[in-house]
Amino acid sequence: MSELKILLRDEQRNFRGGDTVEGVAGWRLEKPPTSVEARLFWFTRGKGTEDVGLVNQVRFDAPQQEEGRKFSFRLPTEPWSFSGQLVSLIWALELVAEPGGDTARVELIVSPTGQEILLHRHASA
Amino acid sequence: MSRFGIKVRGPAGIGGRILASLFFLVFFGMGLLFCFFIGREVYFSAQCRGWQPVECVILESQVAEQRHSESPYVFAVRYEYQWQGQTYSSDKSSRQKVSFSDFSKAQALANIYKLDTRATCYVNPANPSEAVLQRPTLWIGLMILLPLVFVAVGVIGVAAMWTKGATSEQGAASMAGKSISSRAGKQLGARAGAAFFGLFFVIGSVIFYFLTVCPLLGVLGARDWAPTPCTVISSRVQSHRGDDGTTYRVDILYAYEFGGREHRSSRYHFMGGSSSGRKRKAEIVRQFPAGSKRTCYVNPRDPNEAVLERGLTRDMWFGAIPAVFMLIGAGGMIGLLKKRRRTASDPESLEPAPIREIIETPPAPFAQPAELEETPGSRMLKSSSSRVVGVIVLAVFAAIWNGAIFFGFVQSSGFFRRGRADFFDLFTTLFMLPFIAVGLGVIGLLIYQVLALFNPKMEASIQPGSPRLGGWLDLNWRLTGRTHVLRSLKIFLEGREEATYRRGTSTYTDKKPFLKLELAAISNPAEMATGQAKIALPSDTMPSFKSDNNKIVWALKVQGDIPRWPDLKEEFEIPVLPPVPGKVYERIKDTAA
Repeated sequence: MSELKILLRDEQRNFRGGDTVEGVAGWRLEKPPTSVEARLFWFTRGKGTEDVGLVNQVRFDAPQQEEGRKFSFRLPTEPWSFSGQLVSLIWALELVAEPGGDTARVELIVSPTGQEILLHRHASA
Repeated sequence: MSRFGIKVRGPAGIGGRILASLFFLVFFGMGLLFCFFIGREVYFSAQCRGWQPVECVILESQVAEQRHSESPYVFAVRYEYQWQGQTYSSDKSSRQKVSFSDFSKAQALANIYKLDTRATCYVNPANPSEAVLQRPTLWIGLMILLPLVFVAVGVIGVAAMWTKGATSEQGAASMAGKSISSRAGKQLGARAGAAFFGLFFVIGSVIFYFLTVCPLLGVLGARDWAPTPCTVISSRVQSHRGDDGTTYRVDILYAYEFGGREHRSSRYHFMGGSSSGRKRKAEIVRQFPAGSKRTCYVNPRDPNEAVLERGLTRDMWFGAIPAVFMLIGAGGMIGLLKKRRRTASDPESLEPAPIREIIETPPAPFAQPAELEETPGSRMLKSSSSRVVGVIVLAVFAAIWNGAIFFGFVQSSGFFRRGRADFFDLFTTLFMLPFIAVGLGVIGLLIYQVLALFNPKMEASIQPGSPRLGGWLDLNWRLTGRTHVLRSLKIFLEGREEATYRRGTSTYTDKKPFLKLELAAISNPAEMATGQAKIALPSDTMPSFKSDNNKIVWALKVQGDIPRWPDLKEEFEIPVLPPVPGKVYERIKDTAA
């Protein structure tokens, strides 16, 4: 069974816009890969049809069946991570290996404070 | 999912799915049946195209009349040919018997295959007694596209019923470790929508061409046709009983002399086909009794072609119906394509970079989602929906919906026309009742919207034009029109989530406000006409955000209470920007702490 992992520096998950997210992508695959990519993106979760915004991606050149590579992305200032009753917006890093589409994902929070914006905070207060 | 406290509604219940599946299976079955018929026709036509050409002699050639047929004019032909030393005769002009509602079309064939002339016929080598004068075309095969649409709708519909809904599927994908980022930019919904509207446009265009363009070209082309005396031979209203009730057409056969030869035609005007409404056709027929002398207009380039009424006729307005389909199709396609262009970040524009470059160079650049533009100074607000446009759209819909019910059902129903009904009439009436109810509901809504047209109108401006979270918003307003009818007026700023999703073949948008900030609540009519208000925007919430299916919307809402009249309701969408970077961020940080 293939195994993919994303390790972030200091295991940091909360970021402010403009910060740099750094880490190491590691994989041990059943078959030699044709491509391994790290992707930075946001997606929506909730009642609405999912929207996905791919912000950046890097393809690791000549990937081996088993190895680890460094990566680094600068985060944009928007959109912010938020959570509501219908929609939530989540930032994530994904490591995708082909063929097979094996995937590892870590979710991040990106906002001016590094905290998720809770939309209904005022309503419940 | 539970982390965010969001409940995802599952697909419809099993009963609903079975019913919907049966509905789509009917689509699938009917489509398949018609595909089979067309496929069979194409197969036989292709076989016929392989028949051998042989010289033949035309023994009989004339236009015969089948009085009670819907298409009464037939090219009656008989010819003789030889095959491997034996003589055969045939009376088939084509593989299938063809009859015409227009005399001149049958006459045109008689002119091609004149009596006692030699022509080429095509003989079936497997059965030499079978021959035709004209080989069939294979273009009919293109017609298979139409039932294929039904087959596709049926298959997609059934598949949609028994596969998990988009939202739950995505949720499952998130859990099961499938890639989410791979779905970025996949606009299957938009593409399917564009294809749907494209189909609307193509079908509308084809119908528009035959129903409007062809008759108009005929009218334009006939301006120089020669006025010629003609004698009416027969005159009647021809009826055609179909599944959607009986339709009628004018059938006047007349003879005229042109270039020293007698010709006949049955064309009254350039609008072909039959339609409902017998009375108007009977009036026309009364004006052209058999034996009467009239003037017809003859095409000098082809004297077989003539017409009694060469101008525009009332029924040419039917051309407006497919034009509506065309406009809806074109509008839908343009709207969806524009939406696709607005997509925040397109992965195709992002070329993946090798990791070596990433490690050796500063952090990679990022693609910015579509940013809201900052508007300096004040901004005049524009209402999110136009009242007049709303009334026009509703009126067009009401006209099409109720027109279709009236012409397609009420006019042909014995229940509505005679006050008595047979079993079929009763069944169709019961079946149509919900559709009639919807039509009446739409008329009611239209009346409500027309009344709302006379409500006071608000003109509002804000300063700054694009307010920022953590900043101030100044509002100035002026009410025009019948402001005296207002009993109370409320103005507030609303921040809300909007989620668009599909259930089966329908699209829904749910809205949930997360913040309401009151700017004004006035009950004194003297204070309503003009006013201003100022409000501080919170810093610890979301600015405006738009993606294809999910939004954070900020809107200024106006609600006015009018007794015994539709209330005043207006909404002005406002783009709310994030705080100024580096300045208000610190304030947000403090607030969060």
